[in-house]
Amino acid sequence: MMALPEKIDLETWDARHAGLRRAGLTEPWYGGPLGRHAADGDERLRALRFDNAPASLRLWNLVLTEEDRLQEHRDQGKRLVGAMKDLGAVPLLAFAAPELVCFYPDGAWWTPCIMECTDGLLNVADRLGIDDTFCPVRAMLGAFETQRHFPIPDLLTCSTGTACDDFTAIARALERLGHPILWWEIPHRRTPGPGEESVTLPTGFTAPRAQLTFVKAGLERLCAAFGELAGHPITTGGLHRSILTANRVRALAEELWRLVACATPCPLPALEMLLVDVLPVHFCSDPAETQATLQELVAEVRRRVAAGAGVLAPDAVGVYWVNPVADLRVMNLVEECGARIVGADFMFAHARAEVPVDIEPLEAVAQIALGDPMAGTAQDRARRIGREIARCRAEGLVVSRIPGASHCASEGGVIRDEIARRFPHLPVTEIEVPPVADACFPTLRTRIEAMVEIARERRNHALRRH
Amino acid sequence: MTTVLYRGPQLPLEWMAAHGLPLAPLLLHPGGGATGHAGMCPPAEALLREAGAFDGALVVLAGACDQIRRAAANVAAGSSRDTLFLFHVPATRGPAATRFYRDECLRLSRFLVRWGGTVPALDTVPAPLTDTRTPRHGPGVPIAVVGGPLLAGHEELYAAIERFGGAVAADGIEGGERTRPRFPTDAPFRDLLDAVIAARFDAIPDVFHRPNDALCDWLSECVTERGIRGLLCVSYTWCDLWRVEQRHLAAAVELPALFLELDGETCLSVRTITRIEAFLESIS
Repeated sequence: MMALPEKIDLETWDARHAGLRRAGLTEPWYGGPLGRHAADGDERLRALRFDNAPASLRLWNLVLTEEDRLQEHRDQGKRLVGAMKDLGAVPLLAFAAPELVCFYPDGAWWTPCIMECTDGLLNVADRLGIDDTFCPVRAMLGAFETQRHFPIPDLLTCSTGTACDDFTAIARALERLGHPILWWEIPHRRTPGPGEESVTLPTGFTAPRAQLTFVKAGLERLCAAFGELAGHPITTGGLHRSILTANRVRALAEELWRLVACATPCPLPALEMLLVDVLPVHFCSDPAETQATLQELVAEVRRRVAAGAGVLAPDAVGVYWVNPVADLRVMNLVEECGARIVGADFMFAHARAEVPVDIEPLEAVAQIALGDPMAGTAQDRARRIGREIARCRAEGLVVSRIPGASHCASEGGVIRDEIARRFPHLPVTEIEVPPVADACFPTLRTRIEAMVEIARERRNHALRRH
Repeated sequence: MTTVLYRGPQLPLEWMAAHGLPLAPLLLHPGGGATGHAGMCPPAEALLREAGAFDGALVVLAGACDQIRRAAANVAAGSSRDTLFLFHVPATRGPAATRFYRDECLRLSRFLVRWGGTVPALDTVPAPLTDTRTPRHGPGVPIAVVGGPLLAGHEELYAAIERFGGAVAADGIEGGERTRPRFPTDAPFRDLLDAVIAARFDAIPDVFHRPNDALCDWLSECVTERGIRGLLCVSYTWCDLWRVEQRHLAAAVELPALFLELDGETCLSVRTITRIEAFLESIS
């Protein structure tokens, strides 16, 4: 049952799902109508608009069934590793052992949004002394306390050092609740000094060799612990295979971004692209399914591009987006305002970078960890954003602040200054998005619309000149 | 001679002093009502605000929290002179972290030498830098205080405690006894750098360490040995690390605790002082 690409609501999707099934749609075990997730408490889905491709349905189902999948892994005797903060490095080590499955409890930061706060996770965090002056990732603390949103991992790791204060403090609170943490460290990445041995990282930054050596030493400790958990040492061969799998996933996500940035009209909405960007971080606990899902999406997007079909008006303004939004509905909103997302740094851009395969695996993973744009200065990150804006020809920039996050107090200004220096007339807007942002929507809409209006005027002006 | 302004007891101060440049603690001041960045802690904000006054001096900062690291990067970006040094103090412990700290010391050495310092001889016996507050052992209800560095003028806190019948029997605020270097007297001296690393990096318990049992152990020991009856916790607005840790410390030592959150006020507010008074009254 072919349909033109469009964005549809949950009810329409469920009707379409029934039709697709009748027409012979086959789905993986976690497939089914999206409405069942809403019935289970994921209330926010009712407010969202989704892409109507079966590939997108699979993407949503993959993401929304992670809890079941983790439980199933545990039932099968696999050991669960909960990685925190590094967003893209630790899973490369854990998945080197077939007995281990790795996920990020940090992902609970979207639970209050998805469940429209009916989960009570933020209230639990409040009760534990982590109030709303902390980043919404505090929901993770509530998830550990209630033990209702993911199985408690057999081993918890957390990267510290250059991490934001919120996370470091929240993880510390978690440790005090009786969840032991294996800490490892990523130092604050700095520019190598004159004559200092340096390394160019996969994300384009350079770092002193001494910093990389330090990160690698931490990863060696993790490997030893994972080996113990798996019941056998983590081998170089296992790491190499894990990296190759990761690179296939990363390449697919990168390909999707490339297609989405270049094609007009926009072939895949921002909301689905946000989900795509999350997948390489830890493969949603299932690397094979992640790869298959992304392959299906790439095929769908290629078909749409070839047919000149898309989900947004052809004149939608291309914007670059900085930081993840706690409320997914904002990804719909930006498109309702006449924009499309052509590139993003959702704080896990390093999970899309290709892991080097021509060097020792642990060193390669260390390069990914140290290459996290958040591990260095905001100035470094801003320059990278500038390069990305040029690459994807964005016409505007949205910096989305995370309420309470320590890095958001000043980084917006730094990014704005850098972009203003490099692209003097590029409109930039800074917004703040809480987990359920309904009350802020009029303000958010006004700010984004103003930016879109300026960008469109600039575009028209340029067209008139030519 | 160029003065080196420093901030952070985790810095290898005796190693820095051995380079021959005069050292002075960097005092930051509260901005009063002039706060401009939502989410930025008052010390980070003060660093940004006062950066213009550092001209001519070198500034060495311990990068132990996100707020100060980011403020330091902003100061450095706004200056054409390469006079600010951000020293990454590892949060973890172990041989790799010690090696990393040592590398940072050597990098700092190159920085100081570039600005006129001299390379110290490693066989120099370190002269402990005693810039920490003198312990007060006056009469009164023995309490412990814990927290990060205070902004200039906020030391008024100590006077307020004494005024209302308290005595600081354990000073866990940065700059107090907690952050005094501990040069071993029994271990054989090997070299200057090793000695400083042992006295500072290895020995000073701090809020950003991961895991972090040392801070709690230090406080618990003080409480047991000194008959402490209350805990006064001081933190600045938006200081996530201290705010969380202090709750744990209070729970661990099972003492009545007062949590004071200071903002950029130029002197302690009447409300803050009254809370100190009420706290001491209630545990007397």
